[in-house]
Amino acid sequence: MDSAGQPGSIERPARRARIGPTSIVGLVFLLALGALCFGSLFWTLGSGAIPWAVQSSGDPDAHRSTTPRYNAGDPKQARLPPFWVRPGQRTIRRLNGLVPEPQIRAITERFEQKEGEVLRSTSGPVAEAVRRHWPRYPLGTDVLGRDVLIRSLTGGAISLGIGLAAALISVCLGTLYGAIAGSVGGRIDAIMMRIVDVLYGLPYILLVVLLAVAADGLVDRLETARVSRAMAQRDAYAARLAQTWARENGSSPPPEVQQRLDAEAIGRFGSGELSASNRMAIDVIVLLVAIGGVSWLTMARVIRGQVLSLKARPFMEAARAVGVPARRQFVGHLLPNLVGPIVVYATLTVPQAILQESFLSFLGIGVKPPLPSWGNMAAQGLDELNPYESNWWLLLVPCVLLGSTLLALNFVGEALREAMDPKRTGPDR
Amino acid sequence: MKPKSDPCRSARSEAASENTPGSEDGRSRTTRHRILQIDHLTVSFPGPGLRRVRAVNGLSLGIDHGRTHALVGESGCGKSVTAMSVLRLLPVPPARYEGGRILYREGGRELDLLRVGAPDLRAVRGGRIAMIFQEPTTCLNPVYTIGQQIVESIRLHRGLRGSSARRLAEQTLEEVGIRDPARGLDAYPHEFSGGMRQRVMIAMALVCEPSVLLADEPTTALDVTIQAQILDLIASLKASRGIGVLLISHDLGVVAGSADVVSVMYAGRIVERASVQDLFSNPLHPYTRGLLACVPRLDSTQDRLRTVRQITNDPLQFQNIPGLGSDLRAWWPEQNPTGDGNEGGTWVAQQESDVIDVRVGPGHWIAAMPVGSVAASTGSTA
Repeated sequence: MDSAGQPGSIERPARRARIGPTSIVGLVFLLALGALCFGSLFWTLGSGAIPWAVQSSGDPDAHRSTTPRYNAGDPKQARLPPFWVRPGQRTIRRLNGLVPEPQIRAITERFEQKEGEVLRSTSGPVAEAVRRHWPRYPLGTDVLGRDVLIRSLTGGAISLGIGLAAALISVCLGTLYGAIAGSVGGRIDAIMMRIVDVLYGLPYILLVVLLAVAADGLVDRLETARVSRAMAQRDAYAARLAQTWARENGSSPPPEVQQRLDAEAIGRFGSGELSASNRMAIDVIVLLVAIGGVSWLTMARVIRGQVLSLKARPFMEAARAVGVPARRQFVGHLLPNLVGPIVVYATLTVPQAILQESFLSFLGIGVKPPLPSWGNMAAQGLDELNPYESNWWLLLVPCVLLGSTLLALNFVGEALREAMDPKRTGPDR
Repeated sequence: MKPKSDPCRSARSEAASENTPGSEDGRSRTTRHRILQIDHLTVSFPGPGLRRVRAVNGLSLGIDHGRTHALVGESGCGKSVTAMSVLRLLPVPPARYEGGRILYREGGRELDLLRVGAPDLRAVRGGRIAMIFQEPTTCLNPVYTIGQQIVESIRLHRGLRGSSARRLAEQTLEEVGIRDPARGLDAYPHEFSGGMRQRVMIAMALVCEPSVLLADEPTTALDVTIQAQILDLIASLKASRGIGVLLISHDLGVVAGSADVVSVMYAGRIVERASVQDLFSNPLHPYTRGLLACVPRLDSTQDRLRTVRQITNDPLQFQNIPGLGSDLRAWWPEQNPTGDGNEGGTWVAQQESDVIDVRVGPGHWIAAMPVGSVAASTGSTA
């Protein structure tokens, strides 16, 4: 073949899409936040002392209760500002009052002042000495004296987890649904897409509430069944124990022995009730399914449209002309072309799902209060804003975390989209 | 070139089809080398109302070993539908194959491509009959490298894998004139220019050593210098590999340069067929003459270009064609099939009964109809 005059050399533009500094910062931020939130989950969900909280009361077990750390708090230490904020006069006196008795006594002895004066001092060497023993909360405490940092970490794990899982559900469901509708086509496609339209018309808050109510009902029935089963087993076991006792001793057991046997049966089979943490987990899963189940609709529409337009593209015809079997045409030639839109919509769905979760929690329908989420933390923080005394950090911390996470997700999504699109690498496109 | 094997209604044309016009080597040789024979292919699509429009109407043509059969005609005359029908690429609910056969011969075997099962059809597609398309820019899957796409067709039809498949792909790329084929294999389609993509399409078509190449306007999307290169490439591959080529084009310049036999198509039918020299030196059918008159010439001083309709609108043009008797006139659809609100039913019916292929010279055929229907049709078109 004569190739004279054919510029046969291949101009290869750099394959790597330029990734801006914002997306790198966003990625680093997200990775760090994710690692912190999920990594500390074992610790924040566990119970035990919080290292930076000073034991104010004489009770050394105040922070050693069985409540998990995210929920552990001393009402006396409510609404304390972060340690890096300069406190007002009133707060200084409150903080002084939180310093444990032995330290106060040591200071009164050293400076030869009355205890009341020491506690009231807001400046000068005495105040400095007292200040050293204040509790140092990195992000302050909330209305119930719980540490905001720990609650933010737990809430972050919940928010991010729900966001990712809901996006995953939406991607799987939406892609499957849209791809089926698009590739089958015809009447089935029309019916499937009308179903999507109907679901689109329903407000998702309504859907979430309905799902939550339905799930509550189901969980209640499950619990009733468990309780009655446990009761029956317990009674049967107790009766068996009593029979054995009767056989061994020749008479029916006296009431005190009967009580002991009942207690043994209860210890063995339990009450059958769901624990509080199980209930919380169920609530979170319901929320996640609800959000995921709503956000797949857009995905399904987009994917269906893509499948329809790809099906008509000449390269699909060329694939048929080369003799590619039908299944391989779909899996091998159509799906890879869908990866771009799937990734783009997935990256859009994650922040959207996080935002929806926070919004629902803010309204009080999402994550229920003892469990923290950025949404319900912000809702609590909003109540603390008033002209008399603004505990602004209670609102600012969850909002800043939520906002920067969403921003970072969008930056990363942008970079991902650039990288996923093979056509974008050329300078001419 | 061998005539169509239409079972023509007229005794005269039947006698003519016994000959082997256009082929100096004699009949036995041509028939031995015939690879693909399309007989009376009729393909219809849903038309206005409940009627169906026949995009291809009783078309017959043959493709011989090592020769190029060109199919020319204006847009919408059914050229591409013919090519797509060969591989049964038309989506069947809207389209319908109403009749005819497409015989593919290989060794002693003869397959009717309109009736073979899916596995046989897949083996023929790409493996035995390859197709290259109009738009090289969009016919390559943007998410795969050139190499992956060539290797896929090697894997499907030649059972080669891994490095041997890659080596074959590389060789073929080199053969179609891609410099640095090893790097080309790892490039994505968008990194190639239009001409290079068309070369890749040709490489993909050739890699499985097909015996027929269907080239559906392979040069339409390319600029003139690249057009010439691509046509040269197809011509040289045809010579070196003995592939039969069906070249579809609306560009008479392309056809003049690279075809052996030319069929001119209009409204789903072949109106004239001749060897390439014959057709350009002695066009007989008014439509062919019209097409040739439309080709702009550098040495002409005309202000306005002519259109085909200026010729075909004159009913006198269709009478007294040399080689046709006085009882026949050149065939022309009674109604313009591309016109809006046409009564497609009438002209379809009229063609069915009356149109015959008449041999007017060695290897030169035109579609004709009895003068009786001439009066009717001239009356309605004039």
